[in-house]
Amino acid sequence: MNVGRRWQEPVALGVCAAVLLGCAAAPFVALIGEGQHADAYALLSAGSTWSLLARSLAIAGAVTSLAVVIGVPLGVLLGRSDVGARRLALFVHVFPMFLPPFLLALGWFHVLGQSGALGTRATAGVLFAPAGLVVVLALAFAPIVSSLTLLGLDAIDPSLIDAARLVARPPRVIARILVPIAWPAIVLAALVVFALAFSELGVPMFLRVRVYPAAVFARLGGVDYAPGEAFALVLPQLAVGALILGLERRVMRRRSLTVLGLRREQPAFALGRWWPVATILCWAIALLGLVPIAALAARASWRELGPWIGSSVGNTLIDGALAATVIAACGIVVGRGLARGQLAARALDALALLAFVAPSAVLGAGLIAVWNRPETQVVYATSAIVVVGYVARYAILGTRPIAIALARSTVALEDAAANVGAGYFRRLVRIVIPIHARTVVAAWLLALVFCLRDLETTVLYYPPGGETLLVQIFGLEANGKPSVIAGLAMLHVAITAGVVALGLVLLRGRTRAP
Amino acid sequence: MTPAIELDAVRLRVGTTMVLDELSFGVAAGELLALLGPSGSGKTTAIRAILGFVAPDAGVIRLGGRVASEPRRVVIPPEQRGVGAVFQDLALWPHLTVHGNLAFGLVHLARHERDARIAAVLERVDLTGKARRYPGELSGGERQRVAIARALVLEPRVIALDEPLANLDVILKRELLDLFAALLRERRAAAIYVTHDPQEAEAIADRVAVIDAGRLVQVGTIADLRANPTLPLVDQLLSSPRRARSD
Repeated sequence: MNVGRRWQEPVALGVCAAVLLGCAAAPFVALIGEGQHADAYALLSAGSTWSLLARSLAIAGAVTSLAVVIGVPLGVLLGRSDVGARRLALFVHVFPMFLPPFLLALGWFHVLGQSGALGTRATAGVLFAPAGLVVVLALAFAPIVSSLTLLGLDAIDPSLIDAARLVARPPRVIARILVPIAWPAIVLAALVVFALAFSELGVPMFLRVRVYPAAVFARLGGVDYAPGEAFALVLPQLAVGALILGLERRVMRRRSLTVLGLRREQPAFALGRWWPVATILCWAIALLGLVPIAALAARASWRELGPWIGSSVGNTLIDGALAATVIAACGIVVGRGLARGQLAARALDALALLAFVAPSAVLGAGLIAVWNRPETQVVYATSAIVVVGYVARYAILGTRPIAIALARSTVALEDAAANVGAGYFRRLVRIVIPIHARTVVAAWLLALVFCLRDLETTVLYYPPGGETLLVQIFGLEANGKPSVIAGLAMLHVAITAGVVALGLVLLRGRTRAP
Repeated sequence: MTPAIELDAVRLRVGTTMVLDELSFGVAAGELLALLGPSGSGKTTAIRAILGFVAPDAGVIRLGGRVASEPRRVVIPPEQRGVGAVFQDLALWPHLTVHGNLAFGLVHLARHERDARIAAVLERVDLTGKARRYPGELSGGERQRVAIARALVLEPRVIALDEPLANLDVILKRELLDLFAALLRERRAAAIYVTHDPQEAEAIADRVAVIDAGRLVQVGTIADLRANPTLPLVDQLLSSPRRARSD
């Protein structure tokens, strides 16, 4: 038996805990410490601060509502109906989710801006206003709702649907059985979208809409440099993040791992006479998501790009790949612990979730507070800080998918290995990882894609010469040549498409998970 | 007399595997037929075809003499077949109460009529007072009773039970088997009871149909089958319940 190797599991969990605590917990602790000597709290008593916060919350609420209104029906239709070419429509609809919303806003500018393909003074007026911001972000985030709705539907036992189909027509089965059972997944999607919308910095700044994160950004990297005030300003955001975490815990309780299923082929409802309308509607929304990308492609000048492609592409890929590797490695250990109900793993998962849902300015400000000191310049002044930030913000993308996959497979597989003397590491390497290899690869790719699309945290602390492609585009946006900016944006789209295509190739075929 | 259910030379292929192969049998109103067979023999697929979830590749399924499914076409959709079902994992909707689970299929009735019918069925299965409970708040035996009540409250012409008592202990199984048998006989519905356990089949069924590899091997009373098994498989299935497993 493996009695002599009992140290292995605590050590593995301890290493992951050290990584996650160092990356994700330290910033929150540091922020509280910063507050001790910050004399900037007068800012929090100003009415303008709270009205800006309320405005940002209202915008995030509107974005969430619209994204749910678009995303849930689309998730149901593309996931469970016979809409024409639904797999392709799903791919087309979901792809923009992997792109930074800032790039999509840039694309919409080339469509609806005053000099855009369909632009007039009126369309530009709408785009550069809160309404435009809400629509742009809702279209960018609706695929998140669709995807999580779809995964929520996949978690439903097919016999529950069969039982309903015996007595009710498909629309009633969807409305009364499918959607209510998938409701926790939909709420989870709404919380994620709200968190992302509330964190969003690039799109509101580009569309000249004043939001709360921009006020923090201005005090950390802008003309109003005042880090003390920034630390004070992020405290209400931290409270919002904690509230979102609390809501997630309340909605999910212990069900969080069974709320989402792993994508598998499910029988589709026949839409009958509604088929043409539903197919047109689904495809129209899916193609709408591609409009800004098409606009960027039309505006891009590939020939002018040469001098502009510097180290940012390499930085983007290397930093992202390193962070994704750390995230996936921690995800295996923590995700397994989470699936087995270990208290330490649950605590680390809660921390990772808090870092994900907390506004990025909170995390960014906290990372600056932790690492911007003379003795830690080896991290802060190099690309390591970008990797640390990615790990902190996106660790949840490693733990949750792996935990879901493990929670759905039998513990007996590991028990059988333990029974013949396999220790923790051997079970992990020889049993858990090979069986769930596709999920581990999927988690790595998901983390990589989210690292690639990150602007909000990176822009706060990227080191000199360590800027990512997105940060470069964001920096050029104000004064750069539009065709070059569009070209760099399309380069980003191409890199993301490459990663997604790699994922499709690697994740093809049947899973070995039972 | 027209059978309540009739499968006529039904063939159904899943991928390259022939799951149902020229399967033919009928069940009369008020009759209870047990479908007995080893793992992968096509029992559950036959039930899914009867319920209208899959269309046969060839052959016809008739309900009360009407064509319900024909080659590659479900003529009567599941919700219009008037077939009740109890699933192996019961498939109770977790977000609905016991009352909600039973009421879901009765929207066509006026509220007072619906409530009266639900109350009567719940009383019959000894669940009076549990109407406002959620499935997760019930014991295993109570959930089984809710599942059969949900099928019966529809007053169906046909009931399909797909291994409803699998994974239960012997005492509870015996108790529920007696209840199911009494309920099915008093309702006079045609019933198909899928099982791999010959003792269950013997306790509940008028006739037993043995299927293997999607083909009907033999049909008759259990005494007939025991006395004159046409194949060694029939003898094996009837003599050793543990050697056959569910689909």
